[in-house]
Amino acid sequence: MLFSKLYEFFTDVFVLEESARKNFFIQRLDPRVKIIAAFTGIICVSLIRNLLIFMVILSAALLSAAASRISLKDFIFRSLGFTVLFTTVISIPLLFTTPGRVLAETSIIGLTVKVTWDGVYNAAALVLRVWTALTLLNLLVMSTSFDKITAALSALRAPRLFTVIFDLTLKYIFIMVQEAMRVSRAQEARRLWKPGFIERVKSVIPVASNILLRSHVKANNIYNAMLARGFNGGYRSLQSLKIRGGDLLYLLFSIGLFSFLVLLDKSLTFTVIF
Amino acid sequence: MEPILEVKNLFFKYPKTDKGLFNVNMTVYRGECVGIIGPNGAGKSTLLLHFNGLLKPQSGFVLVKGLNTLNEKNISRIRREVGLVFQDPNDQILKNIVEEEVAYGLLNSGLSLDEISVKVNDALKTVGLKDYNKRVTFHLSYGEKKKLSIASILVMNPDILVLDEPTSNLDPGGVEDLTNIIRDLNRNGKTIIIATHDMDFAAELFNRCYIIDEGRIICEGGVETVLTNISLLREHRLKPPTVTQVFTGLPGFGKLPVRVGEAVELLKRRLE
Ligand SMILES: Nc1ncnc2c1ncn2[C@@H]1O[C@H](COP(=O)(O)OP(=O)(O)OP(=O)(O)O)[C@@H](O)[C@H]1O
Ligand SMILES: [Mg+2]
Repeated sequence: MLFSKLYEFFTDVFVLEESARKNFFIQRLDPRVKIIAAFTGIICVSLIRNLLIFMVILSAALLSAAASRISLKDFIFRSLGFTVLFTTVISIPLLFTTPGRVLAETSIIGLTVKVTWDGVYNAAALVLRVWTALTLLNLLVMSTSFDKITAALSALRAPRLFTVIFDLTLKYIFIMVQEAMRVSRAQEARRLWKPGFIERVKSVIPVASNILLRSHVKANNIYNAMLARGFNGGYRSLQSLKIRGGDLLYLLFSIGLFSFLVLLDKSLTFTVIF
Repeated sequence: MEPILEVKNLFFKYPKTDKGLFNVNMTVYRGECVGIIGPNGAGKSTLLLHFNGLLKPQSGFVLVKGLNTLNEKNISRIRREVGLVFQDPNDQILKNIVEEEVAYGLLNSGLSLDEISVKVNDALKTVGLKDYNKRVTFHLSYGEKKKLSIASILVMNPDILVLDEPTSNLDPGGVEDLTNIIRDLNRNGKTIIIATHDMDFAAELFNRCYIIDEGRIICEGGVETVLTNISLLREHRLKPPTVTQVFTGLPGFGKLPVRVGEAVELLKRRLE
């Protein structure tokens, strides 16, 4: 079950690409434009310090997702999930280590622990910054099939090696999960009781090397299949990449908006600064 | 006749095993439909992978239209001439959506999207997967995947079509359709090479065949001769086609038939 859940998730993300195959606002944009806009956004996010401005960007992303009929539940939880994963450990110490106005104070075994307002602000800014960046990335991924992303990367003259690695890594991850699911299913078919979670994980560990090896052989075969059909390092998608008026408008608008927000952030020097 | 594919003294050993191909020689002529017949593990798939340079001979050589697969410069030309359908469709399917899978090779070749779309639909129709365009490849049944993998090679219109056990996992109707598709392609001038141990299929289709076992060519000849050599076939874990087996048990027919049609004719004549 553990692996079939994981498999389901990966199938959703990599295969069905349900939200990316819809045809609304963001999906219709040229993938190259989306990639440039997302990366401009991420760079800006790294320059911004004001909590309100993060909120503005998050709301804009959320609105765009809603306008593109992307499942908001998936949209929010995916980026939030990864944010929690990446930032909890790093942001908690900030609460205690930033000097400033004290919010709360306790003493544990003789040690005084102070949480400062500035600490809370800094921790919140870190979490929001990561969350905003991941949201922008998520907007790109959930509105664009991987096929188009690779085609766009290739068209944007991203280093060929990078595009190939991106493409093959995605395939490899998917193959590995698929193999893990097959192995787990094969084990289950030969087991007479219903195993618990721990037992399930334990039972897969001894065959992990088998899974890795199988994935490796499989990935190799798939690479051969690509070669056999004339793969030459280029990526073309069945959908043509064409920049239209709307794409240019979106590009100019998003670059303009992000630049404006960065400038705004610089001019707002109130309260604490990260 | 003009040789289109030549294998000369091919030697290939998988690293750290004693498995591989040992001094394999064969010649396929333009327009032929040739079988490579052998039991499991005989080396059929290994041999086919040499035909478009995915495996390279360790000694000896393979020539496709006179081009040596050992020469890297020839490879892209060879890959265009030789369409290889893998034994396991799961190894071959690269894309998530059926039409994208079929279009993959064409996209690499630089055709326009309109041309591609027409060809994709034609190929899907040929293998009996009409209207499957938007389906998810991972969720197809094995037989459907098999047909898809054939379509995605057919669409590239290679001169030489190489199929590895194309009938495994196809339903009887599917085998019949495939037989007809291959026969048509062959009539239209395609050279066809098929590895199989489906003897009935082999008898219906091939002009000529090679028996291979333990990495060596055991014999070569017309299907009427090779597939009626019962003791030789048994020695290599193979059997003659079903009709041939039936006629082996019947005295007085002289020549053994290998195809159902021939057998029917023989019986009719006897009954008249
Ligand atoms: N990558 C590999 N490494 C080592 N040995 C291999 C490898 N691939 C195949 N072999 C061995 O080489 C021999 C020939 O394999 P091959 O796949 O060519 O057989 P085949 O005739 O296609 O069999 P089947 O009818 O089962 O498909 C087998 O004994 C197999 O175990
Ligand atoms: Mg094989």
